[in-house]
Amino acid sequence: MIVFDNVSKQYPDGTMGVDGLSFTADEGQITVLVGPSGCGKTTSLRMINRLLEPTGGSILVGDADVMSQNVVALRRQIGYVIQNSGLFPHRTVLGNVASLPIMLGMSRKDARARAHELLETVGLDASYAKRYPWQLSGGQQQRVGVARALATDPPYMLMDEPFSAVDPITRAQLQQEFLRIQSEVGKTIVMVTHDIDEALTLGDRIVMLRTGGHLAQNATPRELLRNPADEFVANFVGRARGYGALGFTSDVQLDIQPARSVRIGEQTANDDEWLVAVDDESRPLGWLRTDDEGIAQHADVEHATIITRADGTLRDIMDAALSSPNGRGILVHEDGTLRGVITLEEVTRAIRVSKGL
Amino acid sequence: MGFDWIAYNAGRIGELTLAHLWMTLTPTLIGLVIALPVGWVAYRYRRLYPWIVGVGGLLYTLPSLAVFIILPMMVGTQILDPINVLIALTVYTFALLVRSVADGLASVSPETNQAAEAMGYSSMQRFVRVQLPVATPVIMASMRVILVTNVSIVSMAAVIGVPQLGSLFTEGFSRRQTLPIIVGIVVCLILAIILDQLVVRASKWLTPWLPKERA
Ligand SMILES: Nc1ncnc2c1ncn2[C@@H]1O[C@H](COP(=O)(O)OP(=O)(O)OP(=O)(O)O)[C@@H](O)[C@H]1O
Ligand SMILES: [Mg+2]
Repeated sequence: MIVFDNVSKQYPDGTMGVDGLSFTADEGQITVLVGPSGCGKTTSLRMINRLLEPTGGSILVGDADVMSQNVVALRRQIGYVIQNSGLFPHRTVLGNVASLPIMLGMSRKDARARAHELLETVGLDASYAKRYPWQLSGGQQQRVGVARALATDPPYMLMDEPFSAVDPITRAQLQQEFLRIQSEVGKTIVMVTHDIDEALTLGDRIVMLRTGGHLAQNATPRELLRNPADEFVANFVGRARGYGALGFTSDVQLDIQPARSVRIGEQTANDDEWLVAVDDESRPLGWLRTDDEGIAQHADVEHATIITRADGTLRDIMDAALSSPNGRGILVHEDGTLRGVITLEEVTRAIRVSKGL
Repeated sequence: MGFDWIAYNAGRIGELTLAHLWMTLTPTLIGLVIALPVGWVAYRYRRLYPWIVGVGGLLYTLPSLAVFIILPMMVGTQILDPINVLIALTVYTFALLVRSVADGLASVSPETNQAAEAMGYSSMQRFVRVQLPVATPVIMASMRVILVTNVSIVSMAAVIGVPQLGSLFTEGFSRRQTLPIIVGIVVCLILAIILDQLVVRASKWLTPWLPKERA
């Protein structure tokens, strides 16, 4: 647990970086600090591992005030990931990940074995292990940064805009993988971002700051979208309140209809109907209209169709219906096999129900 | 006079070469050892940087011959003592290197420094494990210049009578013989080239992370 108790930071030139901030980052959860540029997010984060010292209030990591803890011992419990990764340019990918464990006395062999495991965890192929940071893309560097922060298995992680220097597609991918990793490691994480969508996607709890380093709202993503505390929060959340608010799993019962499906290569009745093309394992590939000969072929599949899980968010399910050539979304089971189809009308009905309309 | 002169004097040329090498390497290494901590101080305490680098620059502009002559008065050595040459060259080496060390250490990106600090690296551990390795190419580039310069400055010490390859020049002049002068120049040149190449190799070996082909 990390606790901010009325924390302030005044820089030597008089600027208030953070002003009377209180919040709690719960054990095993992702707490996201979000807000406009200059609102004190980085300042807050860097006080946790004492790269900066608070000028007022106190910060607890575990049960003790950070200022009363040995600074090196404190930092060794806290992994740190920053925007441009900050990798050691003179060390290979493997060397970067293994450097701290080796410095702390782990044998080279064990440290390397552990580093290899971590590279796998963060989704980096073993063939990258011998490369140097300049030979990696920005996204790959961030993966190494995360692996390095995990190397000594610290209970806490601080992340300052870890995914903001990469393109949107890579970012979304890194975010999803990060959530997967977190579900395995269960660290207590404080992350900084200025991107509200990222905060809503990743945060178990969102601490929104306003300019001047004041707390604007401390809430779960759902609460933040439903009940923004004031105009500032509402404006900052912005568009996300509408479409974005659908990005939570809903408990509305959906009327999912059975789908007519066809395996690739099979003969179909030539009745000019849309069918769901599936592979040998019954996993849907997309919608298909059979050709004159009535043979289901790969080339005829509409690959632009989004396929999503039946137990997913209304946002994803609506995307599935909207991207379909016939207004019906293809839904799958957890294992990727065909579950059924849902009409656009049924999705809008579910949205109305979920909003209590 | 010709090849038989060289054959006859081979032993002496060898001795002079060794003396020359010793008088080049010793101050270069001592200068490096002093420049590392002082350069670190200049890097760490930015307010001292202009002073330290400024003094270094000033020392470097002192004419070497004047230093060879003034130094004995200052440190109380004999004028013909080779120690004068060692001290003077150490000062030159230090003067040139201190800036490279400070700038090389500063070439580590702020993110990398911050990450190391956040990982619990002490400033000493950061110096040894991160900043110094990253500064190596910059320091080595200066070392090349310094070694070659020192080879030639050492020969100047012949004027004040300290024996090394430069002695061949002074002897050649006083006896109006060109061969010793040519031999002196050629051996100096070979020495400089070999030392330079050794530094290039050492630098490559110490910095395997750098791109192989640098455009
Ligand atoms: N070393 C410093 N000296 C003086 N003021 C500073 C210093 N560092 C930051 N500040 C000021 O403190 C305030 C908070 O800065 P901080 O870096 O924490 O913002 P941030 O929320 O991380 O912004 P961004 O999203 O742009 O990274 C800003 O007004 C900034 O100008
Ligand atoms: Mg910041």
